[in-house]
Amino acid sequence: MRTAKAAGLAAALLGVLLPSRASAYHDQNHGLIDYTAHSLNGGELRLGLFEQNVGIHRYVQVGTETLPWLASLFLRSVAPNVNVKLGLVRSKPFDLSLRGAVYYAYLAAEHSDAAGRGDLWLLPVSLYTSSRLLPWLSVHTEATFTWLAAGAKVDVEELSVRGTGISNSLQLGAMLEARVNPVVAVTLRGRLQPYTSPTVVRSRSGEADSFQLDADAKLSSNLSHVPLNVIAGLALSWKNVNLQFGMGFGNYFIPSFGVPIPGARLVPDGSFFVRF
Amino acid sequence: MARSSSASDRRLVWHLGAWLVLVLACSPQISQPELADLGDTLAAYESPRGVLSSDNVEELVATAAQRLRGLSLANPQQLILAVVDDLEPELEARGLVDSTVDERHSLSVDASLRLRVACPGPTHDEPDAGATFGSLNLVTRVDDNALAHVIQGQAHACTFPASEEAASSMLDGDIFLYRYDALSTQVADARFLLVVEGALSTTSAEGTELRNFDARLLGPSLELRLDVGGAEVIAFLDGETLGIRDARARYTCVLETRVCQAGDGATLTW
Repeated sequence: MRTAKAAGLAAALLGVLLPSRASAYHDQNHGLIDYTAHSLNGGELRLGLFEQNVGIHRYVQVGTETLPWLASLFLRSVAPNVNVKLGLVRSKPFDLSLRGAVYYAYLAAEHSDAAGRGDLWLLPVSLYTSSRLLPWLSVHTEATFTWLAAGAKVDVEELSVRGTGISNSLQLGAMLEARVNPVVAVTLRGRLQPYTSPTVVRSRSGEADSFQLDADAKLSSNLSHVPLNVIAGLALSWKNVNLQFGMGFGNYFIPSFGVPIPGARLVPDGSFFVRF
Repeated sequence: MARSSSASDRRLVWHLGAWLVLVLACSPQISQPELADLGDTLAAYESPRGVLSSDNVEELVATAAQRLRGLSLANPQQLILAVVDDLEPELEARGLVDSTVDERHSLSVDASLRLRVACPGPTHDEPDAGATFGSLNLVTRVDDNALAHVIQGQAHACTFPASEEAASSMLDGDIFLYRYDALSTQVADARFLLVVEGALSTTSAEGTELRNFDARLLGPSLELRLDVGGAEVIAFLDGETLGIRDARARYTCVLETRVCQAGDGATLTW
C-alpha cells in the first residue's frame, strides 16, 4: 500500500519535472519575472499572493504589491503602493530593466499620555539585468537604491515633538537560474545591503515663545556585518500557474519594503501567481 | 543600426550609473556646531599656577570677596538649572538618558542641538503674558552617543531672579558652559564651569557687575579665577568660607582678622 502511494507520488513529481513541450512556458518571451529584468508582455496579467501586475506595453509593466494593502488592516489606514517596470533593453541574450515603486503609509497611535501620527514614504529604484550564459543557465542581477522619508508629530504628556527622518540604502542581488526543463528551474539567489546611509532625523519641540529645541540627529547602525542572505529554491512555471519556493540562510529582508532584520536565521521564500 | 543601438544602450547604462552615484553622494548629512575648547580654563581651575604671597594677599582677598559676593548675588546657578530643567525631559524623550544615548538598539547617534530659551524674568512669579525678559540661544552636540560637555551660545539681556530678595540679574554676551557631570536639576549635583564674554549684573543695592570672567559653580560653592602676574589663583566661596587656592596650598581667609591660613598651618596676614 505504502509502495503504491510512493509510486504515485513519484509519478506526480515526474509529471512536474519532466519536460513537456505542450506545457512549456518558458521561452524567449516568458522568463521569470521576479528578481529579473524580464517582465510581463503587453496585455498579460499577473494575479498573485504578493503582487498584481499588468503588462500595458511590451516594455512597460505596472502593478501593486499586496502586503502593504494587507498591512492597511492593522495600520487602520490605507497604505497604497504602485510600481512600474520599464524594459530598457530587450535583446535575446541580455535584458535590462528599470523598476521604480512608491509606498506610502500613514501611521497613528494614541495612548493615555502619548499620541503620535506620521507619514512614511518609501521609494525603491531597481536596475535589473538578465543574461543567458548557456541555453540552460541564466544569471540575473539587481541593484536597488531605496530612499525612505518619514515625518511625525509625537505628543508625550506636555512635550510635543515634530520631526522628519531620511535614510537611503543600496541593495545588490544576484540569481542563478538553472533550467531543468521548460517548467522547472533551480535557483540560487543572494542579496546583500552593502550601503546604508545614516538616518537623519530633524526635530523641533517646545513652544516658540518659551522653550524650543531643534535637534538634527544622525543615527548610524553599529552592526558589524553587511546584511545578506543566500536562498536556494525551485521555480515552477506552467502555462498559467507559477510557483516559487525555497529556503536560505542569513538576514531576512522584509518583503516589499526590503528592510533587513538583524540576526542570521533560516530564510523562507515563496511566491505564487497566475499569469495569463 | 545594431551598432548604434548598442552604443545607445551603453550610454543609457552610464547615465543611470551616474545618477546612482549622484544620489549616493547626496546622502543625508547634518552639520554640527564647533564647540569651544575650554581645556586651558579647566586646567587652570584644577592646577592654578599663581602663588599667594604676603605681597598680593590683601589685594587678592579683597578682589575675591567683592567678585564672589557679586557672583553669589547674581546666582547664575538659578538660570542654568532652569535651562537644565527644560532640557532634561527633552533629551530623555530623544533617548538621551543620563546624557548618554540608550545603546540597546545598536545605534550610534551624532546630533546637533540648538536650544532657545526665554529667560524667566526678575521674579519667581509667573510672568505676565507677553512679557519678555531676554533669551538664551545655546548649541551643543552629541558625538557617538554622548552629549558634549560644552554648551555655548549667547545671552540676550537675559533676566532672572537674583539670590537676594527683590533683586534680579541680567546676563548679556557670549556664554560657554562646561558640565562636569550628567545634567542634573539638583543644585547640590550641578557642577559647571561658566565662561562669560560679556556682563553679568544685578539690580541689588550693591549693584554688582562682573565682566569677561569665568567661574566654577560646584553645587552651592563658587570659584573664580583671579589673575596674578600672568598666572592665576582660584578664589572660592564655600558656604560662609572665603578662601584662595594657589599653586601650593588651599587657604581659608578671614577678612575681619586679616588672615589666610593654609591646611598645613602656614599663614599669610596683611
